[in-house]
Amino acid sequence: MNERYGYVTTTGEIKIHDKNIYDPDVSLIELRKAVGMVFQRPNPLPISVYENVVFGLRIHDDTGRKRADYDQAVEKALTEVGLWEDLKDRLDAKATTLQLEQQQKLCIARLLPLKPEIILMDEPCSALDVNGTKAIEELIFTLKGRYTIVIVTHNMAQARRASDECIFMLLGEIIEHGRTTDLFLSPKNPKTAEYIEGRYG
Amino acid sequence: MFTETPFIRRKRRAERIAQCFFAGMAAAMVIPLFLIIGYIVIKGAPAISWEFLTENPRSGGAKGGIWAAIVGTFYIVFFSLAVSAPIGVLAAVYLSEYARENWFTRMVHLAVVNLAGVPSIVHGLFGVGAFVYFANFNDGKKSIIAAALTLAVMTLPVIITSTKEALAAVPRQFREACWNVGATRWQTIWRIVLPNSISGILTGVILQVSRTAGETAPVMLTGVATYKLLESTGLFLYHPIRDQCMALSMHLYYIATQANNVPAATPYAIATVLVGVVLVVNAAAIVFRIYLRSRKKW
Repeated sequence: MNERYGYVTTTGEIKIHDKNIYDPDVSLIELRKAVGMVFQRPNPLPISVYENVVFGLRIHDDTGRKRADYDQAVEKALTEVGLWEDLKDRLDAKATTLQLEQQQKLCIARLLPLKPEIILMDEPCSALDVNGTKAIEELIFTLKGRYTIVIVTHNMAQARRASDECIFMLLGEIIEHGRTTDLFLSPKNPKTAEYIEGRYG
Repeated sequence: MFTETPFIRRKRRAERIAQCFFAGMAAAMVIPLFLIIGYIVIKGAPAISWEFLTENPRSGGAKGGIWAAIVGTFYIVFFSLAVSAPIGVLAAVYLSEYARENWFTRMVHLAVVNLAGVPSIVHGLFGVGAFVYFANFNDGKKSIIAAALTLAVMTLPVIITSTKEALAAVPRQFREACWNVGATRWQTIWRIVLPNSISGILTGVILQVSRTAGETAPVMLTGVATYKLLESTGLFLYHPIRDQCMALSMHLYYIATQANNVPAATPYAIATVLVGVVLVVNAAAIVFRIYLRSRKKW
């Protein structure tokens, strides 16, 4: 997506199930369907809550789904992210009028009907307050069994709280990779140890 | 503590003077508008009547009405925008949504900017060569379609520019949100970008109506006659390809400078009708835009 802006080039390879996503036969559309992304600032579309959730389905629909299928998908996705009770009577409300926390949950819910393998989260709580952050982190834990979640954060405490496995990256290089408890308690690389201690950052 | 010193007071006075001066300049914009419209309407109003609006000119324009010119202006505006609006909007969508920065888009951009800077009489001369003689719609004679196409070429760059601006006003994160779930470029444009920019696009297009209605030089060369009466009063009054037509702008020029024995009020009455048509269209554009804006929030 970034290469669309011209000044970005990407090298190297990223493998999902041993398939390099930069291979020429990889369809970006299929890839994006399987790999959802949550951004720093919630980016709901300027349409209703309902339409936001079914947006992905509508876009990939080639069979002619029925209204009931969509209704079901909306209830399921919103229940999964814990918004259904709050929003079930306001499905026609414009998504951009919700609170930020709800917007971010909605952005996650928007990915779920497509049944992604992986959900990428780029500092998903950086626009949220303490309660919002807590809610999203709890949501990450309820989703972790069904989806692989990759979260980027600069917040050491959050990295420790909200992950099972941790990769420490510095200036584009992977420095250390291990289980979160191991990485934080007994880092192998001195750079990792110093970063966790807060000597630089 | 914190009280005003003479130095601060001087600065505040300079501030007030500057503000008044700039406000005065802004107000000066409004004065010519009211003077022009007031002058024209006061001098022209007595000559305007139902007959003036709905009858053909008689005695070389000295008597009768301006019905043929009103109809001709509508024909030219309609056909010209029917060509330039779709082409311009689609081109702008390509340029701002699909195209990457390369030699081709730079060339198109250069063409748009330069085309917008060409004087209208030059467009007229181009229209004569391209649409009257080369395309030859009407055996080498002027025709409504030639005039409309000439004006379409003239308004295209403006429509492209205004549409590009309207599209650029749609936040990038909406597009990213769409691509993110695997939407194609076209699905993104159709479902999100266009619904959120349509009011701006339409404003740009509708404002070209007034420009098209007011142009004299290009249409005089390519499709407008000084005197071409409407024989029937049916629905299809002029034939867009075989006929030349009259137009309000050209008729005003002719009545004001060439015709004999014209009552003094007639040119002002024509000008009032022309300004009226333009103002009505602009007001409609503004109301429409307000309506569309009230429906989109983010």
